[in-house]
Amino acid sequence: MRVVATVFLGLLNLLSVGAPPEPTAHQKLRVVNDFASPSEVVAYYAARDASGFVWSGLLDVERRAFTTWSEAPAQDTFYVASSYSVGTPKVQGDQATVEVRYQIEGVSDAHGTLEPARDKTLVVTYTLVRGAAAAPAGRSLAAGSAAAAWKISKPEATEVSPIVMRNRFPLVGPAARGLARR
Amino acid sequence: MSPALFLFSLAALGQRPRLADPASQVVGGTTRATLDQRWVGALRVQPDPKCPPVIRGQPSARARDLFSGASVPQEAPKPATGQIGNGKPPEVDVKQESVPLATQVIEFGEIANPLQSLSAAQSALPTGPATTTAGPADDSARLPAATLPSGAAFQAPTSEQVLSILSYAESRRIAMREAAVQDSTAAATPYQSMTIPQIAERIDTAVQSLSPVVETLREAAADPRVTRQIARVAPQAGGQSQAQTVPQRLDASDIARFANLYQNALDKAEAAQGALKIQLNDVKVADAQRAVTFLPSTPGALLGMPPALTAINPLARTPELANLFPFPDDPKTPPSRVASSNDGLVDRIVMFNGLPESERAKILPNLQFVERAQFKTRSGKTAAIPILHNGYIFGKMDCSSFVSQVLFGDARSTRLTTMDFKGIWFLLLNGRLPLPPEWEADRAKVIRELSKGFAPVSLDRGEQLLPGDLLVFRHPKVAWGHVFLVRSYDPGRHLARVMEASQSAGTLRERDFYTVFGVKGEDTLYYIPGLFGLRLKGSQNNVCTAAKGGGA
Repeated sequence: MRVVATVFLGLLNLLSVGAPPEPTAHQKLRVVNDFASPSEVVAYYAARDASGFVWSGLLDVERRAFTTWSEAPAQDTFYVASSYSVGTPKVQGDQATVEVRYQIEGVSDAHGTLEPARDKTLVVTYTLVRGAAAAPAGRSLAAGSAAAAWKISKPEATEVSPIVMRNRFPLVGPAARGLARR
Repeated sequence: MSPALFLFSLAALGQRPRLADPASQVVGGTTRATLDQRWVGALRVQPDPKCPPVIRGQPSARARDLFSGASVPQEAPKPATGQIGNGKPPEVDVKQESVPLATQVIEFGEIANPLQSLSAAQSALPTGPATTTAGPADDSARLPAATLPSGAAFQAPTSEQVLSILSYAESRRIAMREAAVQDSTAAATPYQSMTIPQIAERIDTAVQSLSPVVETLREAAADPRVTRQIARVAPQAGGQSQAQTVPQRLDASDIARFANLYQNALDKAEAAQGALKIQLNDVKVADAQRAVTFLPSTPGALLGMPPALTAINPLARTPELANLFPFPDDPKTPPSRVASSNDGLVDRIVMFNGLPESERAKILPNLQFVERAQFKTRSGKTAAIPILHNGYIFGKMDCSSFVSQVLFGDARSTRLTTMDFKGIWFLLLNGRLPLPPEWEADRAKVIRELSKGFAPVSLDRGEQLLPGDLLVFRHPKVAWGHVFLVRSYDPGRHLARVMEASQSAGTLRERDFYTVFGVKGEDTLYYIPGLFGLRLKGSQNNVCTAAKGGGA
């Protein structure tokens, strides 16, 4: 029985890539990019973002591990999403694109005031690179290093907006209370 | 930015801005009934000398489509960078006959990409004060306050005042970053001579200490009924702690952000705990002492790091730990930048919380940036938590720190967001806050208070930017905001020389920024929707004290 349960949980775990994260749990920090596929990298980033860690300040250790950005995003506002799904990657050589489709509730900021969204769907297309293109600026990848690791290159850090799940931020105001009742 | 370049920038602020070119007049035509109408209006700029100065009318259908479509985004337009070098505003190609216009513009909402694309293109512009004429500071070139339609009569800051504010803002920021180095050094010093097993013990302690702290912060952030206050104001950078007996209420926004930072610290500590357990299992305890020789007590030296960087990072003793607590790629990175980064703060939190209570108590008085926060939950549970930070939360704010803070997105993330600025601007123009959003009473009160220190500058009404103005981008459709400080403005070309924060370098930088853009195939130029100015009153304004936010 235990074996069956373990196998079942393992299968669930395998299937979980690309699915929305557990609503009440935060995406734990990782500093090593050992993901094999671009969609896993995007799923990690989207889950960190959904937990509010891009808004509060992406750490340099994960920025370097999972993106080619030279700086972390620093926006003072963020989208509030009710759900999201990570699409399947389209890979062409050392470049890949992965779409993330969000259901958006509105735009908010640190104060938690919600500005309701008119466009409920937001699609973000991430471009990922690997190999030499994924090396930090001015450096070449050492042999055996994370040369095979996929890293997000677009949107640029200056063009990316944080997207936080609505249950991961203390929203306030009537609009936010309306969300909570749903 | 080098000191010389910075001084040059400051000196240039005093230069006389070029007067309006009569050949280029603003064509207005939006009502101010709602902010949405205004933005949909995509205000037109007609570079035609025959045009009267102001024409009332409807915005073009193309402009409406451009900024109000709700289609799913396809591809962002690319501005014609070649035309920028010719002194023309960048153009956006929105002509795709088979596809609705809006689908060509948007990836993150209809507005973000025009501005972002323009920003990227404009950053390629040649640097230098191309739009100003040389000459001594001359405030007579300023528009008299009476020309502002808001009717706000006040004296705008002089060039000298702007210079002084900017100069002090920069020096203040530098001092704050140096203070962060002191704090990191204080937390790191006990770790310098530790063996790896000793570090493992400290990491265990950090995990045990941080777990309940994170739990408390999460609860406090999510539940407004949790009492949260600090017992004193943050000390001044480089100065002595100044006790304040009146407790201040902690703002929920601060708590939410620090809950995340402390969560990151806990995650790092747990990851380090796992890495060290594996290592200590591999190396017998008897040999553990020898393991310290893997990297010496000054591990950075092996990696070519200067002592100042090594002094704030004693944990990178093994490759696994070096992944978690890395040195910067560039050994020339200033320690102040490392210590004042989010990573530097998180590492400091790990090291501080890894110390035994007695050691923590010993170094606590020496920390520049720490607040003793007190929480009381609904169940009556109380917790006192020393919250380590990087100097931009809590306490009163003067004009220089206000300017310094609003330019930096990271500093702005918990206070005075672009949504606040939008509220201030709209309130000053219309006498009420924009709807939506539905503002909480506390926040509305703070915005009303702050608004007394500003006058609105509306480009579409022919009002011109002046040195020292804040130029803000905020649009309801996108979670993307930006704040510039205007150095000079050429109304004839609708070109502002602006200063903005460089998040990566932690300093200010400047560049040219067009407040308009063109559409390929059209003669009309459009103001960037969501772009507006705020003029800080030169004297006797309450912004600088009210800017500490609504939590107090």
